[in-house]
Amino acid sequence: MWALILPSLLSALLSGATSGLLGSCALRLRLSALGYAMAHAAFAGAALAFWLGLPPLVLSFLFALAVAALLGPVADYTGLPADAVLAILFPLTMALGFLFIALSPSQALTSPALTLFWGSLLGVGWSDVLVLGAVLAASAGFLILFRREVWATLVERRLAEEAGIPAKPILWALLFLIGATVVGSLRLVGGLLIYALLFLPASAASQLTLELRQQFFLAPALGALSGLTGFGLSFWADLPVGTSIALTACGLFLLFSFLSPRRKLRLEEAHRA
Amino acid sequence: MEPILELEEVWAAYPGGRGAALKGASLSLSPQELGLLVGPNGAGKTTILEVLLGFVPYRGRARTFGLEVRAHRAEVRKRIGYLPQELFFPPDAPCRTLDLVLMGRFGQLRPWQRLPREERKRALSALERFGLAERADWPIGHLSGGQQRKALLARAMAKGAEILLLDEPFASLDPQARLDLAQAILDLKDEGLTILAVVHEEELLARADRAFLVREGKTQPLPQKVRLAEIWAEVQPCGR
Repeated sequence: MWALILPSLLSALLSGATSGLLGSCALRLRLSALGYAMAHAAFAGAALAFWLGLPPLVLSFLFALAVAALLGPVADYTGLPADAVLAILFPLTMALGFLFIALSPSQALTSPALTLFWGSLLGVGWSDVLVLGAVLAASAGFLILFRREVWATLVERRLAEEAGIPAKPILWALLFLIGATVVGSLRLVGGLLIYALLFLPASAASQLTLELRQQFFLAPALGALSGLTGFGLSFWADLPVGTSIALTACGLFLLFSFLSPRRKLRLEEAHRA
Repeated sequence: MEPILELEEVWAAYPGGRGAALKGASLSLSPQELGLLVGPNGAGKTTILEVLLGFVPYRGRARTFGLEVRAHRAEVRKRIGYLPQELFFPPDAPCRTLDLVLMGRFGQLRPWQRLPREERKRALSALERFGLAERADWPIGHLSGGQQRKALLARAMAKGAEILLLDEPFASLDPQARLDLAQAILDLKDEGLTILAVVHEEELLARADRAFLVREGKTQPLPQKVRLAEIWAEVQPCGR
């Protein structure tokens, strides 16, 4: 049995840790809407691959990156703000995902198709573990090697550029890694809920400390905890794994929001005022 | 004297923007001069600073230190200090005052290179100069608006900037903070820095070597000893 669930267990651990790590960057860059759109674009790509009978990894990755790549040019062309463009891309990718699944009627409601929506314990293979392991290693390596450049970009992009830091390539590298994380996590957590793993552990960590360095340790730990606890819940209570992980991450966020020293500070300031 | 900063017939547009933000802007500043850009909102003042930093694509000639900006962005940015418009850090900004000052030098370090101790000393002495040494470990967002501006000036000093580009440095500051900041800027001019500032206030006008009216993407040199009230009297009837 362990041979069957070990890839899922490791995926939950790696997916949570990587999502927490990169989620801290995405949160700071206020990319939550982009993360949301990328997750659903990955879902659409996987659905297309499912319809065409191809392996989902490459197409979902291309779809996720395409959303990030299209954002700037579409915003420029239409003159709309980025969040409005994302509000267009989000339903577009969702609709495409549903369409591609509907176009494969013989399989539309089979287990592999539903896996794309809310994940599966058994849908995960060693290839997903390898992808997630590689993305975690690449993300950690990138954030360690370029710690100063990433930090400066996260604090204030214009000042980073003025200091001679290539903020745009840094941003692109982060988006690339976020896309890879989303894709690697898709089969375990599902296209509808991967977003929760990307932002909730990072948000919970940001409730506890203002220091980015501490958030970079805390968020992956909380992400891994969400992944493992959600996995355990799913396994023992026979619940969908994506749902269990998302609910665990929500629970941790609520707990840390309640304990947050930042919240207490805000309350004290409001009281003084 | 050779200009240290020069725009010649510069046209610039933001990607996706509606039309050109600069339409043949020209100006020059000699070393150690204080130049001011005045004019209505949306006239192109900020774009001039962003062209000089290489943030915005342009046509024409934009040179600093005798180098064409578009071809020498990295080199030019190393020698320029910049105060962006309306930049105030919120209380939860993940950055301490000292780190903000040190950040100015990050682009000059290799990724694997450790931050030299001299950099930290230099940053602390720059903060001390602006009366912020005791707040070096404070989160930058816990400083007042005027102190945040001074921290950015300290950052430019620690970076070794030779030119300062200031985009509305007095915006949202109370009168006392404006006076303090104006004095700090004038002290830097007296020490030999070249300064180009976008202003809507009188504080620096009396000591400016040159002033330019920016209107509809074009620049027009203003006579010395002009008062902003006179400029506005000229600008307003044209209406924007």
